[in-house]
Amino acid sequence: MTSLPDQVITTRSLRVRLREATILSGIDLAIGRGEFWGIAGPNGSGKTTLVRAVLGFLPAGPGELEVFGRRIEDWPLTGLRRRIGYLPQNLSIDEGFPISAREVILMARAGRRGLFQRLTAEDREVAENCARELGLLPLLDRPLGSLSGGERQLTQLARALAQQPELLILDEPTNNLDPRAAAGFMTTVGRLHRDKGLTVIVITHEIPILPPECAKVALLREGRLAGAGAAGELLTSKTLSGLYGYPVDVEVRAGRHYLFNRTIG
Amino acid sequence: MELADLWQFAFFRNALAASLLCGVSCSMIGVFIVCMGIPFIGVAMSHAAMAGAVFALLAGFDPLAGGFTVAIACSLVVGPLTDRSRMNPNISLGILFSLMMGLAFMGIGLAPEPKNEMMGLIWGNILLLSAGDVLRMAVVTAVTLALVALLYKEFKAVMFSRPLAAAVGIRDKLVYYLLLVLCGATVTVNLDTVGGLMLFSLIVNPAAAAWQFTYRLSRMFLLSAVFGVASAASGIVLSSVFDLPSGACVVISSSAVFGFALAISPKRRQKGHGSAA
Repeated sequence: MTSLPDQVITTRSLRVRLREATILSGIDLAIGRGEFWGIAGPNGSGKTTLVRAVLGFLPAGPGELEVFGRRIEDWPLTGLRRRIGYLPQNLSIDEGFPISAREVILMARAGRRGLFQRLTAEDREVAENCARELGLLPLLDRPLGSLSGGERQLTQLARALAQQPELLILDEPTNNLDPRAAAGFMTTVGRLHRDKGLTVIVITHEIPILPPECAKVALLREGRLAGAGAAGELLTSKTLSGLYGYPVDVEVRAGRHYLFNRTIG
Repeated sequence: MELADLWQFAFFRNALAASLLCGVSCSMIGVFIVCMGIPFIGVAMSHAAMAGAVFALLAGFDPLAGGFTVAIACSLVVGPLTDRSRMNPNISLGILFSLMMGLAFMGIGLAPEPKNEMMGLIWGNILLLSAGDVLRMAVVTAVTLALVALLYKEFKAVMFSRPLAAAVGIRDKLVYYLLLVLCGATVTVNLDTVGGLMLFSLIVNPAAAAWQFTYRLSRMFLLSAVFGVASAASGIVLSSVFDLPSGACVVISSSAVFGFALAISPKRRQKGHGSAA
């Protein structure tokens, strides 16, 4: 089986090892261009490991991993990463670090330009446009450390967008956000997918954050794929009770899947 | 003695030029060190350079070449050691620092009396610097400034967050290792000015003082250089006028600059709010 030209990520019997331990095994997944995927599962199920392998931060194999139709081992990693907008989870920053929101967004353009090349007027324009799209223009020259958690996360999203990526990967993007900021952030991500046709992968252990635009999900448990396909078919009480190892009821409201613990009340 | 009288002497002019160059180059790498939170690299590299210079002297070679070789070798080891062991860089640097200090003091212990040249590596002997020494410092300072200008966007990204720099496609490993090598090279050529033990203050204090005043990295570099030059020059002038040890005067000046900066720090009072100044 070869990957189709419109496939962004294809894995076949993929195994990923971290030092001596096997973190992922038997992963078969095909993520198409323009799709919105949620990758969900309990803590430690291998979600982050999977995207770190996709980005070339971890060696993948045995098995196969293709990104943008090319085997991961054939990619120059800097070239691959320039095509993927990535928000790592728990990005710790020093609040006093002398950097503004604008400079963080411009980091994306620094990656695209390469060593010894200066940023251009076009780079600055792209950065400003991304900031405008996310309502960050008034904050552009503020120190990053002075922004709220939600504003910082939007800045990181603008940075990822300024890469003009073909694929956006968000790893637990709402971890440190309050419910209102989390909902606003994910609504924005859903809008970006809808308006731009951007391929999006959101990794989360909190299924309710996945916006209605998230049509497909991959469920991971203990390093194995417990299911991959249409969100409506997989995000059921039975499947998720099995996934998390305790009974939950799923309710769908406004396209989002909410989980309720059946043992409580 | 009056300053005008001192200016007639080549040793004073060399010392002043060296202190200015040392102030600029040390404070520039100080910005890397303070921003990345790896202060140990200053002492680790200065002791590596000391160990190399001491053993080169014992073996009858040029101490500068020995110091430079060992400091660069250590700076090349720190990055991969940190990456492979997944330890905090300060742990790797602490291990290297203690090893290098042990080697340096073993070499000094093995050396026959008098040990003036070796003690100079510890305390510095800026008043004995030649025009050639100053030229060497000028070359390293120029290279440091040129690299900061040419790789500014990469340095900034790596200093802010290596994982993020890697994620946007910057060659983070190459840039990070280059930063470490620059630190090693700068420390080595400046060993003669204030000595291995006290060079640390000239690296950290001006940058830490600059940190208090700005949220812009470019301004932090500029302010750090200004504070570094002011610390080094005032230290040398005080030392010459009052006949005090030059290294100690430079250290005390740079500490005073930091103390003053901390006392009036707008950043500390604002706690990070407001526009980037």
